[in-house]
This record gives sequence, structure tokens and C-alpha cells, in this order.
Amino acid sequence: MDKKPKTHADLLPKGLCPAFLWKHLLTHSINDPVYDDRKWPGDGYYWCAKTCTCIGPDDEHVHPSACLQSRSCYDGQKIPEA
Amino acid sequence: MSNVEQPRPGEVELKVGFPGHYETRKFQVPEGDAPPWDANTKFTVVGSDEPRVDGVMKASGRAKYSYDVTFKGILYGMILRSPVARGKLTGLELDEARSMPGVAAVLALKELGNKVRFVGDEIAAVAAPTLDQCRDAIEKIRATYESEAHNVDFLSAEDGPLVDDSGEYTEPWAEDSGMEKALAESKVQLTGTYRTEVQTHSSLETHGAVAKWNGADLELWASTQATFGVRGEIAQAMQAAKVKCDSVTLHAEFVGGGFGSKFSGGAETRAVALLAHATQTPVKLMLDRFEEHTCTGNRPASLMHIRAGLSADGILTAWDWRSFGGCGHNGGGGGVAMPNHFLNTAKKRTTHKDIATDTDPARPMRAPGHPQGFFGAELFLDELAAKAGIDPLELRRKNDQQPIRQAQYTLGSETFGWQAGRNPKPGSPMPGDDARYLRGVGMATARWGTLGSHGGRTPHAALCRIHQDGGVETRNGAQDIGVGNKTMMAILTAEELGIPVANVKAVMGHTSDPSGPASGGSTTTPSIAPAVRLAAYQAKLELGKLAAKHLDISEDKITWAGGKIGADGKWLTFAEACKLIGPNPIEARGQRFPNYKGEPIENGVCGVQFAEVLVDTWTGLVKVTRMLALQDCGVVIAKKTAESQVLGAMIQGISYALYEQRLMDKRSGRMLNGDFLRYKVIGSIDMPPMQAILQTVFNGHSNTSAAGLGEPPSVAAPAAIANAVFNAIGVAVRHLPITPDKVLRALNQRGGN
Repeated sequence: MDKKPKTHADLLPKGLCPAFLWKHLLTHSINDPVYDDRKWPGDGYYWCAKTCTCIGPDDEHVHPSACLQSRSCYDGQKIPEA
Repeated sequence: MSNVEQPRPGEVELKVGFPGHYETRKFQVPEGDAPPWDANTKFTVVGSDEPRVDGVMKASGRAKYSYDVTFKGILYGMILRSPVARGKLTGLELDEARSMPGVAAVLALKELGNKVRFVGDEIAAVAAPTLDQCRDAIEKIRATYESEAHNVDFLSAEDGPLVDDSGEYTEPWAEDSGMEKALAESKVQLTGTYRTEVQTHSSLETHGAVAKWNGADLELWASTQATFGVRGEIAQAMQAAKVKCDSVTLHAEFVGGGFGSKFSGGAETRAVALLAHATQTPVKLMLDRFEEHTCTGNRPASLMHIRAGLSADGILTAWDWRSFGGCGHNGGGGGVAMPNHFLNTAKKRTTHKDIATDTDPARPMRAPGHPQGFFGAELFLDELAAKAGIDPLELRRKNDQQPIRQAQYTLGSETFGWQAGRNPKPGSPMPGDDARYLRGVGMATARWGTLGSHGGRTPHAALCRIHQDGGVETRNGAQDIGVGNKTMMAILTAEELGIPVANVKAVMGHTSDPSGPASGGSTTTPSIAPAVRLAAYQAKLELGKLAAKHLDISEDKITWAGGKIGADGKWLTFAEACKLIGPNPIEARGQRFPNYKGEPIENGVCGVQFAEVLVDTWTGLVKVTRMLALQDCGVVIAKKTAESQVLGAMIQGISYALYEQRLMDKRSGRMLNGDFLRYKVIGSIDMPPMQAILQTVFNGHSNTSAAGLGEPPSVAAPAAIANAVFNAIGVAVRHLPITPDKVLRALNQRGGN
């Protein structure tokens, strides 16, 4: 019996900035399976809604590993500290 | 003649599969959905040769693209771009440009101290009444930079792959005793390095938009493949102007191609919205061809290093793969896909690494990662087959467990004449051919793994309106980027209502209509089609109720047949029934339900392509002389546009295999061939006779079993052509594009000519 394949959604960090965009979000394919061992979801091209480019308002690259609440331009609901 | 089929929610048995391979499987149909079609369904117009509904408009120039939108007093926008490939913006003086005659706005797109990441990076934008005035103003902007050393070649990057003079990757394999054992136990082994170059999207309509503010509301006409995505994006980008999503309307009724590069609005759409806001005048900003080649993404370069082993009976037993993506400054998007469908029992290992360069970032491009990965893997398989003395088609048959592709192997080899077309002695002329020319035949496979989705929290939906005068509208707010979605919608609606396709008006591309997906990943048709059909089905039920009341018969007896509605000898034509509607139309909204729970025949789509080439041994020129594609696409809805999608993918595949290549000047970091004169794309004279055989597959995942076709047919073509060249000349050209210099080198390597 094959293991259930991981999906793009499984590769998304929690608490991503709402300005973080990527293709699979727009095609509603985030629950499609991922067939390789990629670490991050989608095609690898990510962009910011604030700038409409792959560079965020803070002049740094947009990436799922970076667009989290620790970033100065983060525009989401911060996760309360425990 | 049939009664209106009633919904059958819950567990439903459907006849699914494809000719020669049907079976009955159970699926969970959500409550509220239309009764699903299956292999027992008799169609009237679905799958027929209906012409493209907007074909005449396009051919006659009446279709209005964003590029064509204009207003009295409109301003034009233009972007100043960096001449520096890597560094920092140290100075930006805009006042002189602002004082130029006619210049309405000059805006900075970067702040002092911001990094500059590639030649073409956006610095500032201007708006003026003419493009000439924009150019003059751009020249008056004084931008200064602090330059740093740059690199535009991923093979020269510090962390890039090391290759020798022959192009072979030289790093030793990481230790893996299991892999070494599997390779050692195999009968035949092979190792090889394969490379591809950067391909630009080359959409005929460049990126850009027209922006018009009406007070606090923003209206955009954008060349985009994501109407809803870009609307939301621009609303966020314009938050400083107190814009909210509900005050942005986006139109993209006709789009001149995108191929994956138009998901984001990009700096140009943000710039045009800002310029129009600053001037309170409509502004049009469309990129020129050089900007299109250099600033809007690309299919990245790749390097693949493969070693594998084959058992005595032709089964792959070991598959060791490492690949690299030659990416832009963001160092991402270079992933490479491979045909996993051959690796069922093989010991497998894969690694991948993206390498950053100081160039425009990669963006998704028609089957991201697949044409390059399948080129490497499928050419490798042909070389492995040759070494083992096995027919390459037979090698694939033995290692592929997918029944759809198995059927395609059989039909394709018969239709194309595989045995007769193969060069029995690669490197020698075929009987009857001039000794100067070498002929060969190759094939390759494809797969694509999605069947669309319902759209998550805001399910995709469609509207169907039936008017008193008999007119019917079908509407969805997603974009038709040229592939034929409007035709698909019109056909589905006509099928459901039993009326001619010409009576249906299909409208797409306005965010005031129901939600739809971005056109990517071959999801548009499978995501929208079930909603379109459901909307028509529900509208039909409403019209049936009116007819029943008028004819004084019970609703459950209402039958639709031959364009008439009624029962018991009492009949109304569709037009007569519509007269009962009144001034307000019947309006039904159909939503896209989640893919059915159950076991579809295939979770994506399958394809196989064959190619024949003629190689001129004097010049090294490769001419593709004929091609055949066999493509599963779920249920074929609009046959002509579906075939057009497949043929277009084959054309683009030939272009990628033989011609297209971004050339960079290492010293300046600038693209050397950023136009259609020097960036070679296929022309009509290079196009061979091509045939597309569409394979209808009822997969049972939705009420229409529709699948998408953007990506799948673009996967196999370059590999099939490379394999044909290998069969012709007897040497594998492992580096795309297969240009004459590489062919001549390969011929020399073989020792001939």
C-alpha cells in the first residue's frame, strides 16, 4: 500500500504573511500531491502583493522561509507567544 | 428523448475509463451537483468540431486586448530599468524629468540604498501623453549605482555544478551502498549529463495594463492569467491609497498568451496603478519586447546528471539522479521533473539544487520543470535502450504500468509507423534517402498530475442566464488566455440545454463575475467546466418548471428532446419556452464541488509523442518532418480548441528543442538577444505536418470528467525530437537547443562527415 503523498499545503510554514503569493494559491492547487523531495511548495517563484515582485517591502527576497512574523514588513496576524 | 435526469447524490456507480478499458467504479457525488456524465452518456455537441466561439473576432482584429484599450486623454507609462546587474541604488534625481513638457508623473520604484539585482530591475516610472515623451523623460532621470561583481551563468557560480570540456558533470556521486549494489547487479549501466538553456515565455501580448481611477475605485485592463489574483494583489499594493479589494475591478477578456509568466501583476501593473492614481488620468503601460524577454521571467536552465541500471529483461533497477536549476537572483524555480512512471521498482535517489545568478528570476512556464527534465530522462532512456539492444518503445512498455499510456504506445506506434520509420542503422542514410541526410524517429512520454479543484473557501462558480428572447449567457470571471475556455463554456451550456452553440454567449475575464482559478497548472477547464455545466443544468430545471406550468403537466414528466420541451404530446420549442420567462432572466449559479471521493482512472493525464527528423550532415540543421501526439485530456469538450492546444504545444516544443536560447553578455549582464530577430522562435516554415489524437478518458472526478491541456502536451515534444536526432545520427545531442554546431560536433564525434 502506497503512502499518501505529501501535498504543497504540507510544505507551507504556519503563519505566512497574507501578502505572500505563489501560483498554486491562485490555481487552488495547494492540495495537489508533490511527487519529488522539494522542501518548499509550488514552483519556487514567490512574490509579495505589496510590491508585486519577488522582493518584499524590506528589499529582501520573498520566500516561505522568510515571510513570517519575524520579518519587519510582515502584515499578518501575529501568533500570540505562549 | 429523455427526461431531465435528476441529481443522484451519494454513492454513484459510473462507467469510467477509455475505449477498450472501461470499468464501473463507485464515486461519492455531492448533494446539489448535476448528474455526472460517464461513458454511457450520449453527447450532441460535446467533443464535436465546433469552431472557436471568438475565432472570427480574433481573426478580424475586433477582439479587444488590454493593449487595445484606450481612452480620450490617456497617458502612457514607461519604466526606467537598471543597467547594472548587481549593486545598490545610490542616487535618484527625478526633478528634471518631472519638469519635461507634458510629463504628468514621475515615481520612484526603488528607494536609495535598495539592492539592484539584474539588468532590467525596475527603478522609476513615468507617465506622459506619448511614448516619445516618456522616453525623453526617462533619459532625464539621473540614477547612480554602486556596482558589485556579478555572474549571469549558473555554471560559473561558486556553488554551481562543475562540468568538464565535454560537458560532463565531474563531481563524484555521494556514497550510497544500496544504490551501488543496485547498479552493480544490473545488466546494463549508463551515466550521462544533460543540459537545457533558458527559454523566455515570449507571449505575443506583452505584460502590462491600463489603469483608470473613478474616485476611490480602480478599474484595470490587464494582460494577466489571474484576474482574481491580480485584483487582490493590486488592492494590497495600493493600500496606501486606501484601496480595498471590492473597489478594484479587473478585466482580461482577451489575453495574448501568458505561459505562466502572468500570475503576478508585476512591477508594471503596480506602476500603472500608481501613475494613474498620481495623475487621476487613465494610464497605459505595456512592456516592450526587450522588457518582455528580460524582465518577466523565463524557463530556467538546467543540468541533469543521471546514472541508471537495467536488468536483463529490460526493467529499470537503479535510477540515480541529480539535477541543478540555473535560476535568477531569487535562486528558486529551477526544479526539474522526471518520468517517475518508469521507476516503479527501481532503487531510486534524486537530489536537486537551484543556483542563483544575477538575472531575472525564473517564473512558472508551461509544465514547469517538465520539458527540461523529460528531455534529459527520456534521451537517457533511449541511450540506455541502445546500449542494451532494446527497442526504446519496448523499454517504455516494459517499465510503464499506466494503462492509458500503454494504449497510446500501441495506437501511436501503429499510426506513426514506428517500426518502418526507425533508422535501423543510426548514422547511415535510410534506404532511398540522399546520403547527405540522416533520418530518424523518436518518441517520449508525458504526464501531468492535476484534475483541477473546487477553489477552496470560495468555490469556483459560473452563471447561466436564459433570457426571454432565447439568448443564453454563460459567465465566469476567470480569464481565457487564448486556449479556448469560452468555447468550452459555450459547448457545455449548449449540450445541457439542447440548443446550438451559436445561441450561447460565453463571457470571461471580468472580476464582477463569479470566481475562477488562475490559468495555471492546466486547472482552468477542469475547475470551471463542472460549475458551468451545473449552472446550465439548474437553469434548465427552472425553464422546465415554467414549461410544465404552461403546458399543465407535472414537472417530473418534462422531457427535453430535439430542441423541444414538454411531454404527453404537448411541446414547446426552446424559443417558445423562453417567452415564458419574463423580463428578468432565469439566472442560475453553479458551483464547483470538490473532486469526487472515489478512485479516478488517473489522477492527472497521460501523453505520448512521436517525432521524425531529417538531419543535414553538411550544415548540421535539424528539420522536424512530422509529429504525432496522443493525449489524454479527460472528456474532450471542445475538440478543435483542444487539438489546437496540443498542436501549439508541439510547435513550442520544436522551438525549445531546436532554436530557443537566451544569450547573456557575461561582462554587462545584459541579454544579447532580447528581441524576435535574434531570439529564435519557430516560424511557420519550420512547422512540420502534425497530428493530435485526443483520447477521451472518463475519469469520474467531476460531473464532466474534464481535464486540462495547457501543460501536458508540452512535456514530451523536446524529448521526442532529441530521441529522433539520436536515432538519425547515432549520437545523442545532450544539450538543448540542438543547434547546427552541436550536431556537427556530434557527427565529428561519431567519426563521420
